[in-house]
Amino acid sequence: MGSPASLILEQLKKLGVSYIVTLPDKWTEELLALARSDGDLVHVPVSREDEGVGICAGLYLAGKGAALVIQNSGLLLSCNAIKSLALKYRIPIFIMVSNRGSLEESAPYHIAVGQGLVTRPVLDALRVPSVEVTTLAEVSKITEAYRFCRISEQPVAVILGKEALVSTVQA
Amino acid sequence: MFDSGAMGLASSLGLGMALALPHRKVLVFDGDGALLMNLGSLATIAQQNPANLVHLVFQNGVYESCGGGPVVDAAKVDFAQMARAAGIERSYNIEEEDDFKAKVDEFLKTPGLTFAALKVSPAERIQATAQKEYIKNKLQFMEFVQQVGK
Repeated sequence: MGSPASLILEQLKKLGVSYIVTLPDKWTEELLALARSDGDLVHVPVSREDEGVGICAGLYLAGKGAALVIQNSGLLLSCNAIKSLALKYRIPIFIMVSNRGSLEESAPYHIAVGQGLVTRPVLDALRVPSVEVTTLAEVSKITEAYRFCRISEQPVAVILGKEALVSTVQA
Repeated sequence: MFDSGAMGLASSLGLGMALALPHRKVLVFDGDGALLMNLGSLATIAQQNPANLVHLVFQNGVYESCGGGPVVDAAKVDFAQMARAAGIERSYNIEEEDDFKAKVDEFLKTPGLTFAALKVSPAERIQATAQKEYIKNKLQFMEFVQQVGK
């Protein structure tokens, strides 16, 4: 079995994703490093996460598959973009969110913020379907989530835990 | 595609489309208030440097789509300098209609990432569209961009 990052990218590429739109987080470090060095993927780093919602929407309108990889703080920031662009126009933005500040968090700053406790409720409030992927074995759920996103033509979020992203769990 | 929601994201939508369609010219019609909400997009666009993207900003000093209230001292903002500072070399402020007419051919025909802020007067507010029209609008737009000039 490969690293979580390679398992994730392998699935995304099979699904036709060719653009990875990102803002870095410690937990997604390996995934982003791998995406940057992958010749089959175009990596688009953004300055702010809601910008990524717009870029993924533009790629979709032009017929391309994309994944937005952000921290959950960035998801909170992107609520208006998700509601007034992706949901309004039924644009399938595939959002992969590192769930910092959840119960498996070890970084004191993120524990203090505790944003992981509101990731799911915020997505529910927005009516954005989501699935939690907390272990390596669950990483295959990404394929189902992406298909659901595209077929139902709406944004879908995968809430990623540390074990599903970091190969040596120490962050 | 006309989008009256998600203020600020026009430049990002345009970047996505420009990356996806390198053989097509992509024009973004942005607002001054909108761009101020997403200034970071200038740096993001500069890094990708798509040669087929033309980003035009209508600098009218008001939030026209939400009632016409004033944008923070927008008349004083030097958008071209901001864009240039973010890394978009071909950036202009255009104050006169004739200057725009003189430049527009270059914008459309010469490859290279281009930014221009156009000083204009506020106009009349466009009425909102019904929900089903948004979806229809999107589908027509997608069909057009994905079929024409493939």
